[in-house]
Amino acid sequence: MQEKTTTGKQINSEMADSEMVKQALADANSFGLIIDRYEKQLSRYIRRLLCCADQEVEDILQETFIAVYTNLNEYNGKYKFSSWIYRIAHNKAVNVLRKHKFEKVIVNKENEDGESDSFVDRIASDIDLEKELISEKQADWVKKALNNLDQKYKDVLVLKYYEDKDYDEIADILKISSGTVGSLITRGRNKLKELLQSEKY
Amino acid sequence: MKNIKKDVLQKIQEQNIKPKPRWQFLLKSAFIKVIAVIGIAVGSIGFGIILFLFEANFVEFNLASGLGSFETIILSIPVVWILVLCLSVFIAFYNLKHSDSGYRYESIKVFAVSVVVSLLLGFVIYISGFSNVLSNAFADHIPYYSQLLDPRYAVWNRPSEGYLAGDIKELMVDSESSKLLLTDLSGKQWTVDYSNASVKGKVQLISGARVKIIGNVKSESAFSASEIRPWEGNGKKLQENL
Repeated sequence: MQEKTTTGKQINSEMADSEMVKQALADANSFGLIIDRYEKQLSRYIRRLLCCADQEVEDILQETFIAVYTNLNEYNGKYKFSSWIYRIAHNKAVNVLRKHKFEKVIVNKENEDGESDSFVDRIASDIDLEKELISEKQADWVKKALNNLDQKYKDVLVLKYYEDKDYDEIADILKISSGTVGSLITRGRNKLKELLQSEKY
Repeated sequence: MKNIKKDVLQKIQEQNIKPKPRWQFLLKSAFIKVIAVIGIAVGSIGFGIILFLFEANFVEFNLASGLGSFETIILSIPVVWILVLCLSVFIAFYNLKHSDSGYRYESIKVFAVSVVVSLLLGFVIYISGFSNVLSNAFADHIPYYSQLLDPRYAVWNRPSEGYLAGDIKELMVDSESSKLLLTDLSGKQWTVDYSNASVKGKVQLISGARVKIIGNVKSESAFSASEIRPWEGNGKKLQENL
């Protein structure tokens, strides 16, 4: 699996993840280190995936970390630990989604840290949407369109444009081939562009 | 806002949650791979036997009769083994796709590999002659295997159309005629006059031998043979003997 970048920081991060896993297996309290590292990321990811309220996000996050701990021996280092933990979070979120539909809300909290704006900028440029069209609308408009895509497109677009994962990481998280990731991203972008240009929003 | 870390660690402690042992994941992974290999193996055996049965039936039959009937083609098709092959290939594909790294490959490629490997190994089984051995072993040890899965039964159990097969019970040779008592594949007894029959291949006309007979029905339980052939024998062997 190719590395996204090969900076020293990233390599150290990978080694630290493996080390944290070893420590957590030896001592349950050390699992707190993994929670510290991934709580914010996974919380944000689950919220973007499901667009549900904080309470539901926290419940799913707790279930996710329990599942991570229970299945810690499954991780074998063949791919990034972050991909593995994201996979568990994704599966938990999708299971909940299948059981009951949440009233989809646009979460505006992310505007506070500016991440949603960069998401809109990245996807706008990739789908070749005119800058004027974006600038006229709220970022919420783009996110609303994203929320109304089929789940399979939303999964890959969230991972690529919100979580900034590369194709191999997305493939490992969703357990699909890199080729399928590429196809879904392309089709998802096209669908998104159609939705945005249809002026439904 | 909940303190997730505190809640999770507390729950782990209170409920005494432990990580599942590594061997469980290794066992699951190995099991999936073994099932995939079994799928390929069964598919290969299935394809080898398909080739053997189809050739033994269709090619040999046409060489003998000089006719290529649609009915013969249909009867020659080992339907059940084809179903076994399809099911096995699917099982192999499904388990390969769900193996540790299987998801990284396109489904169409994994399916193609399952099909190609099964067919190639099946062909090897066929040309090595092992499919003949397997087919006989199944016939000997599995009840009703021959009647249900061996299309030769359907093709050679048509005395009214001139195709009879069965086990020789007794030979009756005198100065005027040569006859044998035969129990056909359905269990019915026939008196077969083979005075004017040509005997093909390595046929042993002895009690207990199973033979195929081409000829015509004379009466309710009398058959006149024009050709007697061994029950076992592929097209190549037959061509050498003609």
